[in-house]
Amino acid sequence: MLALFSSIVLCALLLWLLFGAIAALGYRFVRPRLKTIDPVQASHLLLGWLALPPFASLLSCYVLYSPDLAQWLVAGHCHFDNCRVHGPQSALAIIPAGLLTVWMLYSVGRCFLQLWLPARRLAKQLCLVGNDTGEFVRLDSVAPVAFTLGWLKPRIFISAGMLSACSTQEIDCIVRHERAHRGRYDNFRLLLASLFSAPLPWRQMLPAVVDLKLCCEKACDLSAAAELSRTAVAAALIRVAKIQQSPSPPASLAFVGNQTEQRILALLDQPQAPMANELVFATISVTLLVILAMINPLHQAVELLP
Amino acid sequence: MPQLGELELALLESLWRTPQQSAQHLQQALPRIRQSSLSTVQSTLERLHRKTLVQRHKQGHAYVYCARLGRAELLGKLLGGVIRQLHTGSLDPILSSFVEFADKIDEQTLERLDQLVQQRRLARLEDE
Repeated sequence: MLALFSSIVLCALLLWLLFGAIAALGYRFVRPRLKTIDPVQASHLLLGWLALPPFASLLSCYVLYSPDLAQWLVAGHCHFDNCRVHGPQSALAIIPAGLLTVWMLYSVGRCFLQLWLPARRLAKQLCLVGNDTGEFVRLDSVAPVAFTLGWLKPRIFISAGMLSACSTQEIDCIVRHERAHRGRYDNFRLLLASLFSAPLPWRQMLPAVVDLKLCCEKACDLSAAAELSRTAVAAALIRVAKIQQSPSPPASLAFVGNQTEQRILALLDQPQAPMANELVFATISVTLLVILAMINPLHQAVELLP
Repeated sequence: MPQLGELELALLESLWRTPQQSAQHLQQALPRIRQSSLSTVQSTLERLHRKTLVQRHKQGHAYVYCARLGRAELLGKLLGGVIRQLHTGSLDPILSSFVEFADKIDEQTLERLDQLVQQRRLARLEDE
């Protein structure tokens, strides 16, 4: 029983790492296409891409170890006198499964604790010391800040410094942009993306997470622009970037690149048409078929191992 | 700025509204969802005292507490920490800023983008 359980766990975790590596490699080819489609759609697809390794590994494992399903996907073969449909099973899996489980739990748990708790605590503290105006929480500080914070019940925070430095139209842009973040649960979306990619070594999926953040920002810019105008939102972004310029040293997020510039240029470019639903459906279907088609060769490959 | 828990914040809130309260008064004044035992309130007040956020003096057998920092001062300290973290980008994964602090754009790029926006506005006006 322990051997079977360990084999299932080891199989699921190894498949997660394998699918993660494939998704990270494949992202290089998908990335240019994603940049040309509507940011709202791109953010959904990107989250799907990031969720693919864990969910595909669970699905594959379920199929592999469920005799009713496995008979459709694993070609019949025998081991000595055992000709039943089966998933790979070995007592040798116990130690590696244990080690890999510890690593996975540690990386996902650490990511969760580093993000979830501080954000929750900070949001509560800021709500308490700020003034709730209904639409947003006003922070009585001269520092120019505007942000959305919180996972499941996100709140918008705008400082008095920002309110006094911007015109009514610019504040309107900021509020509509942040309202879009709140409505789309972007913080939660990014938390999930971080959790899905946390156990993968060498931060393989980091470019996809960074692109997801940029897509979320662009989607919220477009949401604000739909009610105002694209140039008004671009002008507000420039204004806030100017206000926030400070002599502090360059930050450590070099990998982020210059997202504000990309957002402004995206607003000034021609609007990107959303991908046709048929194409999205076809992409998802092909991806699922590829995963299912991989199960038999994976099964055979695992059994070739000593 | 030390991290503050929910009960610590609720007690501070109560002390801002009514300074000079004993642990017993504070416990009774807590909102229903934050109801805690007297010993929990006392140990939380002890923590706040160690964090130098409240001061206390003895009145009879019990301590009487008052907040050392006002709401605005606490906000200032809190936001100071937030702004520092925003500058380093360490808060990026947990909040969505309108414009990232960590995302530095030089003056020339901003001017170029500003001119681009003006050109688009003019073009749109001409079209209309």
